[in-house]
Amino acid sequence: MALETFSYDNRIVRNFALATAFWGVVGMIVGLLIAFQMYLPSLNFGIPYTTFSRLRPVHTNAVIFAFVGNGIFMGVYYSLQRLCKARIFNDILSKLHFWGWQIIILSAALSLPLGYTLSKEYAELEWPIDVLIAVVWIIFGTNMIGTIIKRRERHMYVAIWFYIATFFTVTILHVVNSLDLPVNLLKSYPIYAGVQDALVQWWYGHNAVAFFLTTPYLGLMYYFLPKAANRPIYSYRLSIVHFWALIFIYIWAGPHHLLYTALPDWAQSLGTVFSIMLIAPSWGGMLNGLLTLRGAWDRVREDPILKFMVVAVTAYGMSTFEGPMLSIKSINALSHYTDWTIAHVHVGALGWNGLLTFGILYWLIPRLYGIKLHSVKLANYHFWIATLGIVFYAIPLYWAGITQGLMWKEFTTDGFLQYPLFLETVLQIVPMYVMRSIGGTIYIIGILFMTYNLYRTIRSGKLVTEEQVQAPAIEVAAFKDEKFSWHHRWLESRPVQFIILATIAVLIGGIIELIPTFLIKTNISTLTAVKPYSPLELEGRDIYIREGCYTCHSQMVRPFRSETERYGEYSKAGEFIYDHPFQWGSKRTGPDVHRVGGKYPDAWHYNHMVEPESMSPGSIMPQYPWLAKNQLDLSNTAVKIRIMQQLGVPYPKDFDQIAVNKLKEQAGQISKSLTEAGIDAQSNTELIAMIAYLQRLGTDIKGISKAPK
Amino acid sequence: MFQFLFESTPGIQTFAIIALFIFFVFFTIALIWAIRTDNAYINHLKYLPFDLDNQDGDKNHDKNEE
Repeated sequence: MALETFSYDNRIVRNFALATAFWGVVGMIVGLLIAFQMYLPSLNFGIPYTTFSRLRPVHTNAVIFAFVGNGIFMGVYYSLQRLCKARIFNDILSKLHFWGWQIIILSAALSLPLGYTLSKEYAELEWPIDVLIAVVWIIFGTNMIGTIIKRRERHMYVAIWFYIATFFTVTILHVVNSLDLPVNLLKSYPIYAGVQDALVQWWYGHNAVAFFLTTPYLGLMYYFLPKAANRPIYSYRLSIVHFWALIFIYIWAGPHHLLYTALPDWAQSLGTVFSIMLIAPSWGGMLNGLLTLRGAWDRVREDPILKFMVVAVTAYGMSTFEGPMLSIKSINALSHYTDWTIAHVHVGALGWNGLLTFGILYWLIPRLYGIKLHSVKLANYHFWIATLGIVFYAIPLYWAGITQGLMWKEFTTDGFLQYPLFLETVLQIVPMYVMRSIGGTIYIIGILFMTYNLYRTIRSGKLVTEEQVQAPAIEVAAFKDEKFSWHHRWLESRPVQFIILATIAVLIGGIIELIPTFLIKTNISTLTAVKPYSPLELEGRDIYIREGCYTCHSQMVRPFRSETERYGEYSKAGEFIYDHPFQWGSKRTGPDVHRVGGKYPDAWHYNHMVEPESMSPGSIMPQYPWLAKNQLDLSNTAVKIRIMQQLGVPYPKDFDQIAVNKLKEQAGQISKSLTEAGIDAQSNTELIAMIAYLQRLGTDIKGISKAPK
Repeated sequence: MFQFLFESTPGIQTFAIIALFIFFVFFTIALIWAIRTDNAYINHLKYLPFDLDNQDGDKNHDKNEE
């Protein structure tokens, strides 16, 4: 058979590899800074842009989309070319993909600290960046599918299946969750509200974990682990079942992020059932990875690359066992909103994604540069430092989460809350926060070791930009004589059929979950007492979103006595029908605020926002003094009202024309109440709007309209 | 505990049964597919990462091991 000569593009792989290491360092240093801010809030240096609530999304986005994202592209561009025996489809698309993705990351790194956010976790970026993400993602997909179509190897290895599923599912998730109506270039409102918004968001959020942090990395595991171990995957049959079962089940499990919330019960239970089922395919994949090393464990003792990969796969196993456990309602009742969840995701992020990425980088860079790794010893040190870092990070947070969860639920023998002051439960776990930041520091020291090691390797080698190879072309005529059975030919050799079937498998779960929630009115009870936000409250809400208050405060009182005693009446689905976007939150570093309206006087909120410790001694909440100085921007108020009307919020006709006057009227009242309390506050500041919003929260069904004086 | 969770959820029996049924059918098909697949074909796929021997220095992997 005639051999064709062609070359692999290694430059694009190298570029993504460097971006992976660079953004890994940046993302994790931001993470470390906010870990310190958890007990030293003054480390924001009094600047809005470096305050915890604005930096937390920078950290999560940087680690997920910049570090892991570039890691995915690095691994896909390397392995896909070799598995397809073809150069990547189009060099220009590769360049557009690389630079487009870096521009997206930079836009996120600028816009999030500036407060341009949708406040939907891991989907915070505003609509112009969302559009850019869609464009760049499609470029990536075109390049990938194009390469698969022009491949010289007839059969698609299982890693490619995972890449295909990743591409299509992330496309669907991103588009469905990012449907917004723009107010202007930098502000938009999601088309969904309240419960629906929450369900769509966590369907997205959960599957971002599934199809961004898991499936592409499983594809990388199926390629790079056999390569590093120099032996094929333990069971290819198992990988087939692993793939189909995993992509089919994962998509159903999203509602486990909303247990005991106002989400309809049937959706919650469906989420629980499918989450527990997820253990089977996840562990199938983990065992397949670990058993690949059977007979090669002696090499694991010496080879740091295999060490990284083994611990990565083990961390995958641990977090995919823990995840389903956390989806059991009784366990979730304790763990949710606590640091337990943070510990769980970090075992996955630092262990599975982090260590697998490091292993791949140590394997890949020397090959790209045609040289040996600068120091195997240093890589071994990195391995031990990283592993210890994870241990020191996770254990204190498990401890903190369980301690705080139990304290929230503790009652005295007389039936009162044992710890009625939320702050008490926070101060109890501050030592754990200190320990966590030490764990994080250790982990980052390891990454700096790696960066140095890779830098020295790169400096002493020369990039093999064009790797010349030869392979026979696929002969179409020979295809019909293929000895393998027709169904394998039909599916596993035909990318288009494969893509269609995989997409259907993924869509079934999403459709069954999402469509009833949109169509069946009875899923959300309408409460006549619930009215749209006043213009001032709406502006205040946008400031609440801008400052990222949802990163520490939930707005969802769960139906437990321990919560109704602490916060008040539990939250009802019908209370959120005008919330574009929902603000339920996922973590309580501070108390829930859904029933905070009317609980304290306006003056308390004013002082608390400017200097939290003046009202709550020992509080770890950052100060927000700029809210008392910044003038409230009224230039978009009318547009916002009109957009809300388009979204179905029943403001009276032409309300947009009187909105600003109404706003000023309400601001005047709050300003007057502050003056009476001895505070000299201007009525046109952002803090007045924030107070209006906080005082409104959860009051509709209480029938309270004014704060106590 | 599960009994309590399910009992407290109206209509959950139907949803759980439908979901489990769909999964069971899907899983069974995938399993049969995998089991019935020809050994030679599986081995061919399994060694795909190693096939192109002239690039990564993976010539030495031992196919006989399998």
